[in-house]
Amino acid sequence: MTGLLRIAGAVLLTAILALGGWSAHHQSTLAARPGSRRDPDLVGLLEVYGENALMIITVTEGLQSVRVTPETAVTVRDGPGTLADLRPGSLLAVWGRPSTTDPMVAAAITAVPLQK
Amino acid sequence: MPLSDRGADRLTALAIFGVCLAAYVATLTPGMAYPGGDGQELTLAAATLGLAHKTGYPLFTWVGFAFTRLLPIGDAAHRTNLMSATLGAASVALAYRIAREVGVERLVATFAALLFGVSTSFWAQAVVTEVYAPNACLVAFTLWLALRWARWAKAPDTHARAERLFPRFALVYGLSLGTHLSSLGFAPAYALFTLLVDPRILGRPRTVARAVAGFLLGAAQFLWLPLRAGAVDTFPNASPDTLARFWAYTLGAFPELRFMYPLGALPARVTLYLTLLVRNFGTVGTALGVVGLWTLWWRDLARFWLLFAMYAVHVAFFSQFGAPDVEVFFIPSHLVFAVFVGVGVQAIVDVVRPALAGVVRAPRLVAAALALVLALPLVPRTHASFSVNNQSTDTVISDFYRSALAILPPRSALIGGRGAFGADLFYFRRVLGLRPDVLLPMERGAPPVPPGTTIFTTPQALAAGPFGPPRGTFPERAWYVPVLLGNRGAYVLYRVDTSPPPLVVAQAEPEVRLDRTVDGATLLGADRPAGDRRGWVRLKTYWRVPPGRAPVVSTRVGTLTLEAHELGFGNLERYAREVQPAAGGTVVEDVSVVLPSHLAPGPHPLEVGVVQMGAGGIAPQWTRVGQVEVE
Repeated sequence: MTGLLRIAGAVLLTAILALGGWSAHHQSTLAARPGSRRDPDLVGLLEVYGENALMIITVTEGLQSVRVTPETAVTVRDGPGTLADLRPGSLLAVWGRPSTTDPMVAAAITAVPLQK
Repeated sequence: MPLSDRGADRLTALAIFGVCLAAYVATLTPGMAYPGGDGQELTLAAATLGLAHKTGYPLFTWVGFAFTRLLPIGDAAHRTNLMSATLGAASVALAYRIAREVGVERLVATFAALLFGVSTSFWAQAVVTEVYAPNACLVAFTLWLALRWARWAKAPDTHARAERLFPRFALVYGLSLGTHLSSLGFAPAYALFTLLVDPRILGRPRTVARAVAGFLLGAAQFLWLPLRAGAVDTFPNASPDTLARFWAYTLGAFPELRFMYPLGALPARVTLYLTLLVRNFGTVGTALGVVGLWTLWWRDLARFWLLFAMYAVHVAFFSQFGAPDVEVFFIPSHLVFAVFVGVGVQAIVDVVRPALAGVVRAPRLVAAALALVLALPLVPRTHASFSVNNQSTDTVISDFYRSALAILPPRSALIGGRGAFGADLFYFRRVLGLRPDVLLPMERGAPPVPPGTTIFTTPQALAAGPFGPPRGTFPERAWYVPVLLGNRGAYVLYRVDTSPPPLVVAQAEPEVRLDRTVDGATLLGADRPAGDRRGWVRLKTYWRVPPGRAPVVSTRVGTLTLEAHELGFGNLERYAREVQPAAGGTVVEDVSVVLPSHLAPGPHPLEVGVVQMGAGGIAPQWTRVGQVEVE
């Protein structure tokens, strides 16, 4: 019994590690969401939005502006979305384009609507 | 006299508890937390001994009630936040005791526990009212009892104590379901562990019967649900007053969120989990956890299976769970992972220490070096978590409702959310007893609104759709006129009028002329009419804007942005269409803006901004309109 459990443990641990490694590799090759492999540059609540820009109230940095372009990849919860899906009050995680500083141009935005 | 091992462990656990409690209290939300919708409802349920949303959380409610009644500081929301901080700190102390039970030495166990304590997902939950920190405490307590029982059961001189402890462990396990029903998923791990440690337990039916009775006694807390069902508005959930609804409220809850993702999404979900793991433990910490898993597998099969099965079941279930805030559901598995990290570090220490002993003769020097090496990674993680999770200035909800309820005229009506969605407003009425003369029509059993009553509402009620007030609550073609602006977009007090407000006037003579044009919108001037009170500032601004184009405007004091909104709050276009004011008129906004209660006393410049939206992005252009004196 103990031997069986030891073998089962080893098999499961190996399988889980392999699944983790394969998943990470699989996702990195997809590169569908430009910023998803690192922490977001900005996290906050969407306050107002315009045609090409958003205002986000962040916990740490107060009101921040973010430029959006047609190339900005939007994810709502875990599915693909559009800029039109963003609603005031949603929690946003924003990944900026690497070379931009101020105002940040969003490469990817993930939105989580907070209303139930 | 040297401390015994047990005494030293207790003292260390106490010190860990104290340090974590201090950190969590320093970053604690002072009142009802924003956003966290569930937290608001959980606060109300705890303070009023009510019934929380699915799955009911009876133990959480009772302990929360005790905190609201026994703590002498702050309001009830502050006290339930303190419950999270206290039980969160206790979870970290228990994580230390768990690590000790699996053979990790004191210093390393302290490191592993603190690594969990400063992990960002957990810290975030220890400073607000939510079930996750209390649940971590119950999970840790149950696990510690199981490990303690196993140690006692193996030694002949403590076998009798183990027999007494086993039903208590089962009782605590049953109780832990009242902080999160997902702990039921740990049952196979506990059952397997019991059989691995003491296979002959099945030959002692009295012991087994006592344990089953203990578990059932703990789980019996869910009888609270049907008992309270009739007294509480559980909207949008059906009241658990029949067997079928009770099932839907508890074990059958959230069927649409379980195993929500197709097999093709598996890599994305696994990667999401790994990302969260690395965010909480770092890359090195995660690698050490993997080392710990293998070490435990090699050294102690029974404890390996207990911890691994708990961890694997939990991660497998929640990585496929479709909740938007899935991060917090992994907290119990993070707690177990922290123990793996401890075991991993211990394995490395066990290899390095003998090698060092040959070079460095003083064991104390080795211990000091080890302490330093372990403390170093904790410092930046603590700093980062402190910054991200510091909610000590989150007074949005409290400031808004205290001001809104103060500004309402006598015997008016305020229509907020329904059931669970109205918990924030109901809290200020039922728990704090503010403005008993104001009618809350969405409250259970509220009388009908008398004709002629001035009605007010909030965006939560207006934007809630099917979860909002029933159709016909508001007059057809009503005008929603902003009266008070909170410090978040979701918190605005509107007056519900049947006739249009004086939004555009032909002539205007502001007291302070400004004539500042930004992006086509001209701020002509501003008045500070009477109406300032402690808690808010009243501001009347005059604007000339191009037809069909409402700019986004904002208000700030000092460097603190108070609010941002579209000029006219969406009413301008309709006003132009229906009222048809003369061309070239002046748009007038007369609103009060909530001042955060954490503003430092003294004078602060008051500024109005026009938010420029162009190729350069968004940038408010500020114009000083006066000064605010904060008492």
